[in-house]
Amino acid sequence: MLLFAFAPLAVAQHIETSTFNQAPKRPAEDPKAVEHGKQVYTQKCASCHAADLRGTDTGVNILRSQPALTDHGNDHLTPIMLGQWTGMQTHKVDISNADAAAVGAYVRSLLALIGSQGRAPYDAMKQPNIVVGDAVIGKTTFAKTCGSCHSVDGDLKGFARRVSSPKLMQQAWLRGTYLGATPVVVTATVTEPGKAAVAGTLIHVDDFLVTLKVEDGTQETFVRNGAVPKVVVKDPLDAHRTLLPKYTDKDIHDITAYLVTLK
Amino acid sequence: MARRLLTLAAALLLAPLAPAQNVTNADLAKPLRNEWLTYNGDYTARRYSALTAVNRQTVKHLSLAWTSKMTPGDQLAPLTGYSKVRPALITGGEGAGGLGAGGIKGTILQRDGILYVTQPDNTYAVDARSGEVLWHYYWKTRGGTHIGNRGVALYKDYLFFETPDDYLVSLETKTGKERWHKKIADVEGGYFSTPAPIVIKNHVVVGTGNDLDAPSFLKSFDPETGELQWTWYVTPQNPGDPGLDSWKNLDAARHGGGGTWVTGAYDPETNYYIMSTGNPTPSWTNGNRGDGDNLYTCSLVALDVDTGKLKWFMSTSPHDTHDYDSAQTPVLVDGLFKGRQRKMAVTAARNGYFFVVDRVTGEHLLTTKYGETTNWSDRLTPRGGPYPDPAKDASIGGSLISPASGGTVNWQPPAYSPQTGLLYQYENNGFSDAFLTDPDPRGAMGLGGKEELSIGTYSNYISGIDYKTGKARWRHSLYGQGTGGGGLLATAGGLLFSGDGSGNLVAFDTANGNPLWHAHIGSISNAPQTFLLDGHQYVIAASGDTVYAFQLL
Repeated sequence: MLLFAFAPLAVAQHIETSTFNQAPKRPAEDPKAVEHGKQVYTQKCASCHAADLRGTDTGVNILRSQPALTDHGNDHLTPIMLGQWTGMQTHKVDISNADAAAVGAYVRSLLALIGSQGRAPYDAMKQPNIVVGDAVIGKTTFAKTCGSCHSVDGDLKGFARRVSSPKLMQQAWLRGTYLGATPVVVTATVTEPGKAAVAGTLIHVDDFLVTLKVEDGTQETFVRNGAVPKVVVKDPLDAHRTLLPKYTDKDIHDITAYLVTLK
Repeated sequence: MARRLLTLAAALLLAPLAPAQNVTNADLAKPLRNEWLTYNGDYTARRYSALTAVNRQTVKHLSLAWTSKMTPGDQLAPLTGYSKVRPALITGGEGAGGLGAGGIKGTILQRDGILYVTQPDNTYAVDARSGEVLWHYYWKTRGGTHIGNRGVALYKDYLFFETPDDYLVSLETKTGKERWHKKIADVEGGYFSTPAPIVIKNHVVVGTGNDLDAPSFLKSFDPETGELQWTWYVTPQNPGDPGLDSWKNLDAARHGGGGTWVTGAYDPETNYYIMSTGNPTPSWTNGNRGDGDNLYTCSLVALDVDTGKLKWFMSTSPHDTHDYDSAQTPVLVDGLFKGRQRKMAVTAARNGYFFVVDRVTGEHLLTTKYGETTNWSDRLTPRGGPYPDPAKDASIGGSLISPASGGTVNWQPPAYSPQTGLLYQYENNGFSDAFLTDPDPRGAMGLGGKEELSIGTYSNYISGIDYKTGKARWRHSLYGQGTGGGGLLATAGGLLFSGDGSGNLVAFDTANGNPLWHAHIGSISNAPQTFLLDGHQYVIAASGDTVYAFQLL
């Protein structure tokens, strides 16, 4: 019965589920003011609030500050810089009104770059090297875990050339599929009482129907009523899914470190 | 079918609808039966209907009565031809509008033969006998994340709903005319509001949330005037606030998140509003928030509904590091627990763990792992909360976690049948590879600093969890990758209704999970519901922008 728990894999799930501030769109700032504001910020603000505005032990993260986010035309940011904001009177920066306005423009230009689900500007551009495993150990682990179905001289020859991103490669080998590869074909056999078994490519299966693409290219749908007809689904990726609860992260990292050497 | 619709429409033209009666507090306090007046049907949040006409024997005769497709936005719905007039379109709002509405992912209320249906920015009154739209209110939004709307609240002849740009809007039920709207939060600050409000006594309680490290809260408004009555912040906001020592510092607590995404339950005896809170922020990195439990995020909490004061809490995902919010619906259960009669609150959380708490005292009674492959925690806190195994936090080389951050279950409401003593919930055992992309010791912002790649589903079930043991008495395998649908409904007829994730609305046997009836109408996007009208028991469910109604024909 475990077999039926494994549905055919669809395309990779898209995890992102929302967009920060679909609207209102923040109005564009004057590029000159932004450039000047950046210089003033660097001199007057960055030592406490950090060059990326995300704060230090002595200054808060401006990118997630509600007064900053809800600023309109410097109605919050200028008073905050000038020590005129309730509860922040000691936050009095030695700065002219014009410079404070320019810093405001610079801050708002960065707030506009906050990404989906509250990601800091440029968050997605950081891509550390994910190859942290031991390729020598990985070779052994691969042989033990994957070797009964896969071979580095056969189906995985040149694997690292075909999937150049180690991160996508790790996802690909864990799933048993990767973009650009021939989709795995799930097959099924349907046996109605007293009739010959019908085999084909599985199109759809649920508790009530099963649809196969049979040899002549046509589709055939059978009504299911409990155990009748007998339906046996064969999914080549079952082996991959069965392994998921068994790996350690070290196993995974070592296997990836080995697979990236298969140029 | 067409003839039936024509007949009903003709009948409606001749006989005006019965005058609507005001919804009273006594109506709202009734157990779920003929009408559907609150988000979860009644204050217990069991989504258990006492109706029995549709039952294990008769469900095979359940047939389509009508379908009704919603037309969101400021365009008039197309004239059907069999209805002589287009529904009235009423517009409001403070923005330009124009953002998409998405599917129907909320509860539909039913009162006096009228259904109240929502999509983000859109609320409709629909004739429950024919599916014809009577009026449509469109809110021109200023923005905010338009991911879903969970429905309206009813009281007297008013209705209330929340908007993605964070307003509480009140309409007249008869006409759809706006009474007033009040700001809940600032959309520019990253807030967006999805929950269905709940009316308790003279309070309209609303929640909201934010992915940008802003503090979440509940607010209570006066149903007559819209005046703010109280605000409860999920995380400490001032020096000396309780729970502050579970954060690195006050600044971290003030940015701690804890979305109040999902409407809770109400216990009239204690006067407690019992609900579950969302994840701490930043979600995946904790440089800013320390190693503590990050209270009162990811917690089951009880508030005095008149004051908004916290009475007890149970941290169901202390110090969450995987975006496993605990914004699931807690269910009030009365019964025996270890030989003693108890009043309890139970919840199956997104993180794969199941909890039972004494809802009078807050005493923790039971924690079990209900997710088959759940692997991210290596210990329970002394109060029974699963604490993250640091080795399973997002890491540079990738950490294989289960469930994926989408959860063993997400917002979808469960159901509970007192006949079986089982809590019915989805159990999606998925895996993902969680990569830390921003190792900055300060931690990231929002849900950033990580990349999560889906590895797929290991197994997928609808489960009936015995609250006494925390173990599934039965599990029914689903074929789809996600959860089966938008939530569950249990009935005294011994039926459990849900989508199956494969395009079917299904009635399962509450005793063993065997499917007894189905209709292949598409992916079910909300929790099925039932009500009684003209002596007929209806079952309704939505798929995308369309509501489907069934009855015994």
